[in-house]
Amino acid sequence: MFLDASDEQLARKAQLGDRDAFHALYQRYLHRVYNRVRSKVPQQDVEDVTQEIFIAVVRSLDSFEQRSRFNTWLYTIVNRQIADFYRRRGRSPRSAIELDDDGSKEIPVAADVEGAEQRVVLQRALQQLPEHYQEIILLRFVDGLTFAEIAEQRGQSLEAVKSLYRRAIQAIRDRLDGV
Amino acid sequence: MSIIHDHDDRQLDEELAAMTDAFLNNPNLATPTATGDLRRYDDIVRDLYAFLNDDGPSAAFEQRLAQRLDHEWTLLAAQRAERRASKWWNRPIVSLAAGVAIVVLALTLVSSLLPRGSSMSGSIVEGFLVGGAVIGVVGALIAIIVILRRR
Repeated sequence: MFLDASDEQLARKAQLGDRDAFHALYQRYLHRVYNRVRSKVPQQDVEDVTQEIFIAVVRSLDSFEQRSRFNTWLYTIVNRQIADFYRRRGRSPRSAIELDDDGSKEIPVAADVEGAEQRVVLQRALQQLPEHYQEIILLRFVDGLTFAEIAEQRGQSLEAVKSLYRRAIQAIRDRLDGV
Repeated sequence: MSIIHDHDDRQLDEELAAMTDAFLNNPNLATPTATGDLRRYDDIVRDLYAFLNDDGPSAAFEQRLAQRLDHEWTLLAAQRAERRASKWWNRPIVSLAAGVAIVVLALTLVSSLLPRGSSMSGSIVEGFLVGGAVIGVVGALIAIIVILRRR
């Protein structure tokens, strides 16, 4: 029904009270928001934080002005809610992600332990990156934007974005080498 | 030396971006083994993909959240409707007054276009016209505000 509509068009309809338009936006962004949250908070808290984000979106939908892109506005809310989550817990993101925070309730077998450990190590490395490095990785891997689309969205040249991306990957490499 | 270094970095930027694009376009396809500096990044790209593209939320969570948002939406819609109804320009009496004023303005305009009767003195007719016009203009302004606010 809303396949051809842009995010901004859907947001405008939702602001005017169209529930279906909001649902279409929800469907469009749930996986991306979930995976973003998953990259930044312990596994057992991902659903709660994701839920809080979408409730905040419903409540503040009227504040979205068509001047910016919808996803820029949405990810501002995502980052704010994640920051609030860590503020409530009284811990910084970097110290919060520990192996025992994985949320697994079952006794893990060796392969699971290795996988969980690898996931936490990578999550911690990602979390330690400067915000603009994290953002470029998330836009490419989670949102599936091409480098050209990222460049357009960020108002940067394609070369600058590719360079930023390489430095972000290098920074993760450096952090993993230091583990 | 610096120029050569910049050139190498730019080439690496391009190669890494191309390698990432090729991998993300078809993650299941075995890509040619990277060489040189690029090899260092290959594993990171694969690990990031595996980490950031997990199964996603469960269907149960997706449904639960959709229901929660639906409830939130209904609640907010009711609050909005209540707020809208409490605004002065949405009160029925204001709409009625604006409607009456528009009618008065219309009558005034119509009567001003008609030929003046000899049985009424000119000053009474003019007074009626001016008074009616003032009421009508004020009413029309209120009506315009009401219409604009409701949009």
